[in-house]
Amino acid sequence: MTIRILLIILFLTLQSCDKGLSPELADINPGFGGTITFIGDWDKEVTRTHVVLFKSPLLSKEDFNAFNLKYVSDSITSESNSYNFNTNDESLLSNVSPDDYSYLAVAQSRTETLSLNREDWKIVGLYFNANDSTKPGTLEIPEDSFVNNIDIVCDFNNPPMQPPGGDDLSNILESIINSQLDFQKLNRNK
Amino acid sequence: MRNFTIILIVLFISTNIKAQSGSLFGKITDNNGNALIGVNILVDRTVLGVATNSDGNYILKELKNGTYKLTFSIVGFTKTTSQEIEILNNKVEINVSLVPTSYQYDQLIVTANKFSQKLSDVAASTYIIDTKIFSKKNFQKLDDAFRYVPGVTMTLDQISIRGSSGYSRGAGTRVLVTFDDIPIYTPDSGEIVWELIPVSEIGRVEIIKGSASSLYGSSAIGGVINIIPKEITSNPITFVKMQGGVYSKPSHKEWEWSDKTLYFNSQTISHSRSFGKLGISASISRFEDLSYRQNQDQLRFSGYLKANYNFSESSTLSFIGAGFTRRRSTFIYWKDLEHALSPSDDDLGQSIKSDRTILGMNFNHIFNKKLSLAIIPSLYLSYWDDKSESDNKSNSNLFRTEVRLNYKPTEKIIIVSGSEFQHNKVTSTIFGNRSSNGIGAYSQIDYKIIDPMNLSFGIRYDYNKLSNLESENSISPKLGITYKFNNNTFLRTSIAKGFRSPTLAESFTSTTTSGVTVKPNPNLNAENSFSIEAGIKHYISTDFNLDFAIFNNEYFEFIEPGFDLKDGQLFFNNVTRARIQGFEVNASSSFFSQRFLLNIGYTFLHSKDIDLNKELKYRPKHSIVTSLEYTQSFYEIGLDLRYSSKVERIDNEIVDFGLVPNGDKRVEIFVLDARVGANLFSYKLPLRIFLNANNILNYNYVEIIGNIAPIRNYSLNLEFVF
Repeated sequence: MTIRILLIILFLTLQSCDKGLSPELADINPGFGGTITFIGDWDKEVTRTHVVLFKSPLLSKEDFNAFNLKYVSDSITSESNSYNFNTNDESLLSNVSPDDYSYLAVAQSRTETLSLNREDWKIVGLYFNANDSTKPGTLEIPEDSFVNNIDIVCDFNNPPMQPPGGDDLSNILESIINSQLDFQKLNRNK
Repeated sequence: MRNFTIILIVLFISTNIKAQSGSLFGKITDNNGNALIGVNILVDRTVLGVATNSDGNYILKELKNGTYKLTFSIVGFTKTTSQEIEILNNKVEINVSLVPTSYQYDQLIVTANKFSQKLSDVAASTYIIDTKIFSKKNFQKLDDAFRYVPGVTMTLDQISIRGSSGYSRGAGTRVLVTFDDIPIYTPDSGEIVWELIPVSEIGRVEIIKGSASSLYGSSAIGGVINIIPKEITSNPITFVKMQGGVYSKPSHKEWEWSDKTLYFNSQTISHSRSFGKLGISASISRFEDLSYRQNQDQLRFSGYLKANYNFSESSTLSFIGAGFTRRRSTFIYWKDLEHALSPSDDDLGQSIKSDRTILGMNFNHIFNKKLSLAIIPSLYLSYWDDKSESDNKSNSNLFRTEVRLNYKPTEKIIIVSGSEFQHNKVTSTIFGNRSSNGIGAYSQIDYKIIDPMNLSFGIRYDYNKLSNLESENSISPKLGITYKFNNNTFLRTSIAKGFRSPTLAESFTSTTTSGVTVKPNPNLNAENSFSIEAGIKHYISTDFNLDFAIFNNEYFEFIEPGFDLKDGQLFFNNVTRARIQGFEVNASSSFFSQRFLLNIGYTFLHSKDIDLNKELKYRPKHSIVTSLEYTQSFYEIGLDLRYSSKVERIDNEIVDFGLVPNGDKRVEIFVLDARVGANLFSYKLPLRIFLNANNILNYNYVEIIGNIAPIRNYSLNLEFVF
């Protein structure tokens, strides 16, 4: 009886398993795509607009570097109302693999050529996780799958908080200092 | 040194004084009367010991007149100790029939704590590999066996016990491996080269899980593997092993890269015998593998020599030497998943030539019933030449010596104390010209407070100086308690601090291979750990036992390979905090009059890089190993199944930089092996035959990115013993 049970288990095991890795899996490219919606008037001096993806959070000016940058879409035509993107389509840079990414945004620049200086860029749209627009959202790309509906709204009249190192650095620092002072006051009141 | 020379001279003279003596001889069989080969016979309170030959016979010559006790042991049988035997210028025959048992926990003797003790008295989880499995499964290398040990993960040839290591291409190890008491990590990279240990000469393998730095120092932060060579036989015994096998066609047409039949084969001949007080065991072997992957063929020649000279019943000097020379083509990563068994075009034609040799001596002297001394010097010589684009070369040597005293003031107390010194020198294009020094001193006391309870406390101090870097100091204590609740239930718990100094490879590697640039990090700090475990072994019946262990390991300044996002170069860095928690459950059962043996082991690992709040790389969360064996008369059939869940994190950066196309593709591991074998000894034929089919489902998986593990292969192993 025991032998029969073991043989049945073995048979079911053999039947249920696949062959593991196969060449077909090479055709499945993990990535993401979505729509960018623009609200308000475009800055006439903007020369380039891109969807950009960073692996690690932009906590300092140095985090805005080529090795942290994982995706840069082709430049979006000025005065567009919306733009559909897909990391498997042609792009300036695409190093997207299954992982967690900390910063996905739409960035604009006034330079003629593509620059990697943080000062040359302004963030006009930011990807947030559902129900939390207080901080940049984390984008999770699972194994062997493509994530759709990664949508970003760019409201030129109400741009998101800028990462450190840009033109608006002084404003950000002021905002951080103010929030820390508020926090200290709150603690004292406790 | 002068005193040591005097001791040796005195001992030598004393052995030449003609004494009244006799001998002990006999035959060891199982309960069916079949001769047992390789049974260890030790003479209590002496340094004398032999193993049985192919007929199960042994002889101990030139024993001084007196009374002796013999202990007979071999894995799979109950350890047996004889009555007091009196020798008075005569020959005494002692024949023993050993009883097979799975009820071994209170019987087995292990030496992992640098003295012989019952397995049930060891506070750490310990696993013993039955070395018969090397023949049964046609293993070519020792590490092949570790894939079937619960709680042990092999990532290519890098070992990890309970998730202690990920994958670092051999730079450093967190598991210390000793062969005949000699650590065998390489002088330059600090890795384990498994081919150095001849599988045919292994007598026993003990795996101690959890930190053992309190006794072994750096590198033992994740555990220790203690390999004991076979005892030299008293009567001549010759062993010839011939093995051959073929790989199946790949399961996908796109992966085929050769029209030829891809095969592997090996030939080994070994001989063991004694001439009076001198015992010698030697072997040579050749191994050739065309490999299932393009550009990974290899040819290896190995040699091994062990010699014992018994100056007296209380003094012995042994020599051990093992080495190989090998040329192996280099397969680093696949070209892409559509060409998974071929390397990138740039890597074709690359190869590495390597020569590795370990030489060691062990002088053992028993002063009296309470005190014994061991002096163990060794020299590891390593050379390799990477005949590829990088053109790296490394020539290195490691001299090491250990002096150890075992003191047993009462029957309840054993104290092991010792000191070690090591010096290594490296001349290399990849590591630079470096040297390092280390000293260590340790002491451990095992105290049987009350009969069922054993308390063990050890502490070790280590000092390491790596080239021109700042020196490192560490103190590593350990406390362990075992409690024999009753004859069926054994409890154990231990708490230990571990440490590991960075290796030369981790601190100084500077090279570019397959597009990956590795840069040095001279600011690496030593890593530390704090581990705690508790376990229970319970025999539900003589045929069914369960072992459960739960553990928590905290790592500080954990050294892991990673990429510097500023320049895209690989380097070793201290991950500030890591935590590995988990549990293991192992069940062993025999049924139908022990014709069936079933072992199942499950390991759960929860590993975390606490800073990043992510899993550590290359640590599977779930692992299962099972084996089922059926033995009837002279033949046996076996099945082995192992499973590991898909590792959650890998070196994604290598994939991101486009260095390994499709490198992120991986799956769970699911491997089924089958074997059939026959032992014709009971038919008076000195032959064992084993036929193996490994990975019979031809399941394709990777252990590291871009490296398909061995596909289905068939092998035949013939062993002649005469």
